[in-house]
Amino acid sequence: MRSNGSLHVHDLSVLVDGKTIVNALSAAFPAGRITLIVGHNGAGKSTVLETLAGLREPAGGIIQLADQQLWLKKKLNKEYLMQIGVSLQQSSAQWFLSTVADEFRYSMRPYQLSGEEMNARMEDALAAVGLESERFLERDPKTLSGGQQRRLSLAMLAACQPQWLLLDEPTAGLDADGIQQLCVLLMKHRAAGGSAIIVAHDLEVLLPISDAVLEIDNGSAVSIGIRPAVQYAASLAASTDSGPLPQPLETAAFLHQAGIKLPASDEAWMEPKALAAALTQQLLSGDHHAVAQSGSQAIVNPPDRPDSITDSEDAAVLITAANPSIQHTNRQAPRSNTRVIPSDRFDPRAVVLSYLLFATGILLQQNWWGLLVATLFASAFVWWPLRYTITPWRNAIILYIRMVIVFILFAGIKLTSIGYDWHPVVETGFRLSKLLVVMVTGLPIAALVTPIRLQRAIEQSLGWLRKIKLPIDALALTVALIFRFLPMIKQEWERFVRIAHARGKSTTRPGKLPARMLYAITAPFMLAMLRGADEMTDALEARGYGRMGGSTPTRGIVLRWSISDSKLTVVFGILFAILYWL
Amino acid sequence: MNFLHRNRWKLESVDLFVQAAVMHKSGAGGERQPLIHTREHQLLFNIDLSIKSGEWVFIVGTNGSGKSTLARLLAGLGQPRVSGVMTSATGASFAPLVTQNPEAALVGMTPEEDAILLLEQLAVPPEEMASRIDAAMRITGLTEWMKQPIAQLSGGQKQLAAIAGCIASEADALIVDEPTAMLDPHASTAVMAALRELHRRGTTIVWVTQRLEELIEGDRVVAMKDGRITFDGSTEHFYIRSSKKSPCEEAGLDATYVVETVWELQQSGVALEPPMPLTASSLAKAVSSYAQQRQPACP
Repeated sequence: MRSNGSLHVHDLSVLVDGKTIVNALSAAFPAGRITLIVGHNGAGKSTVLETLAGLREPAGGIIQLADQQLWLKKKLNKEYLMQIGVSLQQSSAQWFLSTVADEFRYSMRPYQLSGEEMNARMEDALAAVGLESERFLERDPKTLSGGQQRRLSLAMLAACQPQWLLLDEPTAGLDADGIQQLCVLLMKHRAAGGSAIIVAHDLEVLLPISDAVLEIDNGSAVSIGIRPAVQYAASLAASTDSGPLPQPLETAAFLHQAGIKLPASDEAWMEPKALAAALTQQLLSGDHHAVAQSGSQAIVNPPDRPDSITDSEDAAVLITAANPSIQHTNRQAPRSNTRVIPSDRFDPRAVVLSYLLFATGILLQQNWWGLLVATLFASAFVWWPLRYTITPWRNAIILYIRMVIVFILFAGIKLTSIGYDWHPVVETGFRLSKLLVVMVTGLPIAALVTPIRLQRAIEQSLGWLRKIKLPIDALALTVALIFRFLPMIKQEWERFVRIAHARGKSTTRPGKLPARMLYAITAPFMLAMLRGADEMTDALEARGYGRMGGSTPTRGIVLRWSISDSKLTVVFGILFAILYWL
Repeated sequence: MNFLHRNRWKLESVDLFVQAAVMHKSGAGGERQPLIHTREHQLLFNIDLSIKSGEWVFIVGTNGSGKSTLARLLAGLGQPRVSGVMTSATGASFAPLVTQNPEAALVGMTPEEDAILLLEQLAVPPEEMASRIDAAMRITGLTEWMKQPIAQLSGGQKQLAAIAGCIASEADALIVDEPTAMLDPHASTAVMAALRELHRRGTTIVWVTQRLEELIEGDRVVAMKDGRITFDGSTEHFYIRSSKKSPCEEAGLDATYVVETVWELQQSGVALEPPMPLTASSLAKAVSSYAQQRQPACP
């Protein structure tokens, strides 16, 4: 039943927190091949992989495996999901059951295998990564060492035997033995007809065993889309600005520069043994013409395309991916160029004072005309110039508006005599709309004021409270840490939901989790949070926090009221005056 | 300067123990009730190590070899039970340690703010802060980014921001534990360059890593395995296969591509000069000078 088609992506775009991370990406990942996704940190590689796995909902575009679309209206396609297995970054901390065997059963459940089949697969998979089944099956996965957990997550994937493996940085945290096992596992998978898409930094390990490479920059495919691995290696070696090369390519480049001729190779690079043999032959055979003669093209220009890819039907796929029209759109940078106001531009006291004045002005309004004027002011002076700080909250704002509408409609229902009264509807609507304007106007404060500066503002204006023994200073670090920790909690929760989603082959939209799984991930999530807090205190102590023992901290950030603070306050003071007299 | 010959750290037959929770499955009955108690684990065995002020030292080893434990011991972190003698140079500041994940170590919203907060905690006079931070940002190449929100920086820049704070604290030694493990090659090179510059200015650097490509000729390597130091010497000696295995292989580490090639060449009877080039450029140089030396011998 296994289809042999490639995994196509057409004109894919993905937004993360309102920002375009993947932009107009088109590519066709060939079946039966190992394809790497490469690019700088932050180029959008992981986002692409997660979207291919159905863990992020694309903003636009098509994802299709053979003839199966990933998205069927607003649900995921089970047929597609059953053919893929995904391992995310740091997926070692994904366990939520009490034994390794239970974890295996959870992952294999969607495949509806018999008990014996499951047991056989568990043992094979553990053996493949060098963990003895009799020792590990009954262990609690959370008590395994970091390296063992990484191997276990690989085994978990192998046990499901998906046609497509989607891996994010699988070599991270593995030592030499683990990397060796990973390579063997991948090559066996390909030999059995399987395919893989791997996000990778570690080209030295993965490029030699892969067939094709997709290079991503700024969320789009670079130049020609997917190309053969050998061709990619050659272009890396030839390019001057790609920065540090994998050592084998660097070696070839330096040898070439030194005028040493090497035989053409049909692999990404020669193994050390082959390179040494070639060098030895030249150095010892007396064939010095080759050495003396420089300008050999052998390394920089290997044969355009290796047989391994040309002879398959996938060659056509690779050529379609090189479509020049795609190439054209890719060059446009996806990022918008909004002007960002630095977070230390204004004194927090000026920001808070201005907001209080303006919010009071809005709340003073008694009719819809006044509210309209206030909204226009808010749009012109706050919403539009600071729109980049508001867009991340778009979903929350829409939710609030919906809630307001529901409240308003209910407000009209009369219980005493069945009927509908418009007066309270307008009244409630007016009040809630005023609150909405006040709230949205307050959203940018978080971006204009960092936690520390806000804390300093409190300290400097309320410093006199020290006299009555209020521990104003002790709040300093606490406030900052809480604000640092909040985004971490959000990120970690999203990561857990994604992992549970991927392993359970749930067809609900990403980010939404069936209730039965919610229970399963709560405990490991708490555990991960504790570990995170632990790691943070540890890292802070390591950098020097709390090491001075007793001496009073100094103050490097002292707020000073500037001209621009006065201007800001005056502008909003005038707006307040207008709204007051309206 | 006799300051250069002073030991920054000196460890003599140091053993290190930690308390760890152990879980037992009670055997024959097969009940699921686990027994938990704590037991003392020995993580480091008989460590003899001295590091001089201003030195650059790599600590290498596989997962679980004890390299991070040793780094934490040097940084004076945690409360392990230690036997043996460990001394730090008198008057030395504490040595900050920067770990793999910069995300966990940054408090401020911008690199500058983060550095200020660290200096505030270390009770540095406010009037000194600006100049110290400017200098630190220059060394790490973050000057342009020091007022950018940390959330908008790349992984490498975050790591550099964590290091910049430590530089501004003017510590005389810095310990980094796999600082490049989560970074792409570009960012790794930037971190390495910043620390080489810091070292050139006299700071002692201890760099813990599994990536042997980071080692270059003339560096000092300390290899660890199973909590013991198995090798302490120059990078060139680290790869020499004197009897059968090199210290690198003994420690269970994979040698780099260049080193593997040199080993293969040695086996085929090609002895290069210098015998153990470690970087691509020095390998190419050695090969071409070998070729030139043989040239006149041929008619």
